Amino acid sequence: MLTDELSEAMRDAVQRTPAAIEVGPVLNRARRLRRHRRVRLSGGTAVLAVVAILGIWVIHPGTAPTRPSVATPPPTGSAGATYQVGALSRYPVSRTDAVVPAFRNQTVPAAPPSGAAVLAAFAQWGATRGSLAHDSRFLTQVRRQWTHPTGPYSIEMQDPKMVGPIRVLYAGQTVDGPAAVVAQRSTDLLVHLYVGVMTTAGGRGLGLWGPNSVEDNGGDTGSPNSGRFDLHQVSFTTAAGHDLIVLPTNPADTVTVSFDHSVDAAGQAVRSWRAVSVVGGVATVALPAPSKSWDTLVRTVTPTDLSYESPVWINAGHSPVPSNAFGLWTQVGAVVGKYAVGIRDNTYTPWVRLYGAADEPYGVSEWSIEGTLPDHTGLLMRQIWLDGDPAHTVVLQIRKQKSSVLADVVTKPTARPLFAQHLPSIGGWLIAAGPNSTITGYRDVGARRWLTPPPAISDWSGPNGNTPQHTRAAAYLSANQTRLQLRLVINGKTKDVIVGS
Amino acid sequence: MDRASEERFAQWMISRGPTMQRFAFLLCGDWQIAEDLVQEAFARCALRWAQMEQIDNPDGYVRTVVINQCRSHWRLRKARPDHPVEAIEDRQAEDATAGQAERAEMLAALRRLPARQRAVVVCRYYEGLSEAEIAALLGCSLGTVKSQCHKALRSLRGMIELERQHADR
Repeated sequence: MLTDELSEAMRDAVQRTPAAIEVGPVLNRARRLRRHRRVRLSGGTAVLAVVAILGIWVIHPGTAPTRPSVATPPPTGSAGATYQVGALSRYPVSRTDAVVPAFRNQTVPAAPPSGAAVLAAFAQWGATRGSLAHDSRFLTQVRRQWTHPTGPYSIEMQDPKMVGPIRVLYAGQTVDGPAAVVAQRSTDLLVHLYVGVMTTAGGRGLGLWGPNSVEDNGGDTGSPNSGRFDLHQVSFTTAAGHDLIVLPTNPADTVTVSFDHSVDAAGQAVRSWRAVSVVGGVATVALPAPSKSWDTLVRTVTPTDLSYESPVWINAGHSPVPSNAFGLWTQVGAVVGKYAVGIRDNTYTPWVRLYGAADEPYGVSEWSIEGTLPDHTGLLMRQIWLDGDPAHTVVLQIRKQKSSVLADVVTKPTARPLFAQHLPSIGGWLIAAGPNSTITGYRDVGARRWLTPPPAISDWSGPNGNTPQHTRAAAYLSANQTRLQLRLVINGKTKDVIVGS
Repeated sequence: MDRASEERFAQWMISRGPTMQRFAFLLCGDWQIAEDLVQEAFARCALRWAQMEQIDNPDGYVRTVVINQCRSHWRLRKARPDHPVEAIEDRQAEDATAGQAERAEMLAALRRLPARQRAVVVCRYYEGLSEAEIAALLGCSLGTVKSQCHKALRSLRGMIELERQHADR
């Protein structure tokens, strides 16, 4: 098993006894640090003042942020001559990777772009776009921020295999301050490209989001605010979420956006779209509200009418959460079986497609209940929602990397148990007790004897990560009755309930 | 720090030093760098020793500092080999038992994970920390830990398979 091999490899690697660290040098170092801190605190104020002055300079005067022009001025060569800017980039359009908005009963979108397609798209990006494309001081600042990030966001990528030039794809003045988009190739086996967005955040100067890696599966390395990468456009919200910036890879593409969805009589998400103008390869759109970016879809349409659609890639702030969604009330690794499931990017797609296009933005709860059934298929329960809609408690069965929806109910936050259904296809009951609750017993309705549910495993600990920690927050009951009586402890009080029909 | 505090700090540091160096080595891949990073981490802990003596889990705190030191080290791009050849080759020379090559492959793949994924994997499968403990250590959500762990294992699996395919040719 991979994790066993991993543990063994790590233990094997550290078998040697490290040299003892001497106390004296450590304490001396601590004393030097203490002196250094006092100097930095007084110098830091000056640094902040410089940044603030710079900020005032780049923002238009007036109390309210005004939207600056995004038109790119004609570049001037070193000899002072002007020259025409040709097509900013050419992107080879392929029918095989077209993503048609997929509604219920229609084909799931094509597979994520291959590494080769991503590299081809960015190799032909062309000149830097945006109103600061010729501001050499800003571009220098951007490149320095890329190699030595000082922004407020954590850098997850520390890849020694980044190669080639640092490409500044966009450098522009936005309503919330200057922003930039940077890309650099990587020779890593799995990562083809790193792309990062820089915005100014809260007066702290230019800061880097991510950067995100673009891998063969189209995924990224875990920036919490980014969606799947779409090589047909780079989109991000400005630092305070006032505007959405869209950079179609091919500037000849048409860009339309939809800020939110409504739900029709059939419970399906429907959207209205508005065209936005693309000037110099940049589309700037005022968001109705910062939180709307999470429900926004961006569509680029090629001159040959192939359309590509995806959520905003980098969003400022945090996504709104429905009022009936729970936080981390439990985390069950194996309600049945011994292992948790592997959750992939497309695990939730079958549920999303019940209510709209496969690329409808959605959110998931922090809590989840997982497990492995006797037939080695995976079981996953958590709350899922389309942005702006109530949360559903959903049970998925995962078989050979494909999932199917076994149960789907709009969460009633006061319901205890939170979820209790007989699922005939898996031969048993799945119970989620709910926040501040546990399940301690079950029996047939009318029976005298209570049975103890098998304990679920919340997590594994210990030197090999193999020691289970048990929980009664959830249970899988291998029982085929259509009605059961459950004994719950809710907020410390015992309560018996009948579930089923 | 007064003398008594210094003595308590010294005793604590001596007892934790080897563990933290091993932890840092798995994060950064080089014993010398690990020693430097852990020394720096302990120096920073010394600044906060008075507060650390009051908390329940000083080991967790120093582990966090070690992780942050490793991140700072990567940020400043100090010289770091792609593969810690010294460490791997020494081990191979000393012990040629079956499985050594596989462990070296695994370690090399571990080095290539992004920083956060590597930290999650080391904390999970070497330190044996629970996901909740790792989330507290890294200052992120439990969901992020699970996601990072899943992605790390997926990446490791992919890298190992690719390496073995290349080796088979």
